[in-house]
Amino acid sequence: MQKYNIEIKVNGKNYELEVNSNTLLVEVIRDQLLLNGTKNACNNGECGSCTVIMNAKSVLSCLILAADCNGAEITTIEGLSNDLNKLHPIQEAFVEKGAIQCGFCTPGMILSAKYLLDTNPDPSEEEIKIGMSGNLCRCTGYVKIIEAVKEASRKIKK
Amino acid sequence: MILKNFNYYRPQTIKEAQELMNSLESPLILAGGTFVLTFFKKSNDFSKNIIGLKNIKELTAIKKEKEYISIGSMVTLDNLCRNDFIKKDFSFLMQVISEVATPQIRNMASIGGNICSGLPWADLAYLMLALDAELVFVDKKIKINEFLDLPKEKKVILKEIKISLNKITRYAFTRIPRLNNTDITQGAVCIIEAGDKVRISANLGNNFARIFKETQSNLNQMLKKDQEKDLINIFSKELNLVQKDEYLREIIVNCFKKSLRIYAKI
Repeated sequence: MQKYNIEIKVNGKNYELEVNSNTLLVEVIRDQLLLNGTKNACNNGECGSCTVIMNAKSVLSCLILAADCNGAEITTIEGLSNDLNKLHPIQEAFVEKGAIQCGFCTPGMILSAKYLLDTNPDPSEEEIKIGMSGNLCRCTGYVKIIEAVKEASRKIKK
Repeated sequence: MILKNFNYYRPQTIKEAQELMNSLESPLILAGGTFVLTFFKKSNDFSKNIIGLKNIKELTAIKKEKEYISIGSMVTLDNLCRNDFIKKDFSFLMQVISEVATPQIRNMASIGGNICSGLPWADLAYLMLALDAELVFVDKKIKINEFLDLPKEKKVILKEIKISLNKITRYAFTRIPRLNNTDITQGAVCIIEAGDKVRISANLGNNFARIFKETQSNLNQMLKKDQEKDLINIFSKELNLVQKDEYLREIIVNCFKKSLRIYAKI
C-alpha cells in the first residue's frame, strides 16, 4: 500500500498526516481528525452532506483523494465560527428559521450557504435555489432552508 | 476504506505524466475525480494504476491568443465561468455551464475530464462541438468532432482546448436532465451562430454527442420562410440514423424544437 505525507490546514490548525493512496478526504476529516460534523451519506457525490470548503471553494470530500490535498486549507462545520461560544450568522439563521429537522444534511447545507454568500452576498431566491442545489434534505422540504439563507445574507450584511 | 487499493501517481509536469502513461500497465487518468472516483467505488474491474493531474499547474491556465482562446484541460467548470475572457467573449458558455450539475461538482470537475470521459452525458462535449473546438494532445491537434468519432484514446493526455474567437452572434440551448436540473443530461441541443456559420450539436442521451449541421445561415432563411417543420424533419431523419431509442429520440427532437424557437426569437 502506497503511503503519502500531506500537510493540511483544517479550521485554522495545521496537520501533518500520513494517508494511503485510496484514502478519501472525508475519511481523513472524520476518522483521523475526528471532526464528525462532516457527514458521509451517499458516498457518491449526489447528496452534498460531505461538503467542506477547500481553498475557498465548496467541494465534496467523498470525491477527493486525501493525497491530492497537500497544502490545502479546509473549513468544516466545526471551524465555521471563530468563537466557540457564538454561532456563525448562517448557523444562527438556520436555528432561527427552523431550517433543521433531523440535522444530518445541515453541516453540508450550511457550508454550501457559506460558499454561496462568500461569492454572492446578496443572492436572489432563484440564486439561492441554484446555490443550494447540490445538497439534499429529506425532512424540511427546503422552504425554511431558503428562508434561512436569505436571513443569513441579511445578518452578514449588517 | 471506501475505495479499493490502487497505485496513485502525482506527476508535476505534462512530460512526467505522459511518461507514466507510456510505462504503466493500463493507466487511468484522474482529472477532477467526479466521474472516475464514483465509478471506482462501484466497479470491481478498474485500473490499478491511477495518474492524478491535479498537481500539473500548466494544465490550469486560460490564455487569450490572437485568434483563439486556449483553456487548460484541468480548468474546473467553475473557474471557466469566472474567467474574465470567458465572461467577455463566451458569456453563453457561462450561462450553459451554470446549469450543469451542482456548485460543488462545478468546483471540482475539469473541462478536459468531462470531454475525455467518453460518457454520454458529458455536457462539455456537445458545447465544444457547437463551438468547433480543437483539442491539443501531447502529440497532436485534432478537431473535437474527429476526436468523438475515434475509439476512446487512453494513452495520450489532453493539454488544452482551443476555441476560435469568432464572435458568437446568436445562440440557443435546451437541455433535458434525467430527474431535476442537477441530474445528468438525457438530451440537449445547442445552436450557435458565429459570423455566417450556424452549428447545431446535440447530446444524444445514451449515445455520444454529434454535430448535425454546419450551414451558412441556411437555417435563418428557412426560419424566415416559416419552414420549421421541414427543419425538424431533416433533423429527425439524421437523428434516426444514430439514436435507435424512440423515447430518447422524442426528447432530443423536443430539445431541437425548443432551441429553434429560442434561436428564431433572438
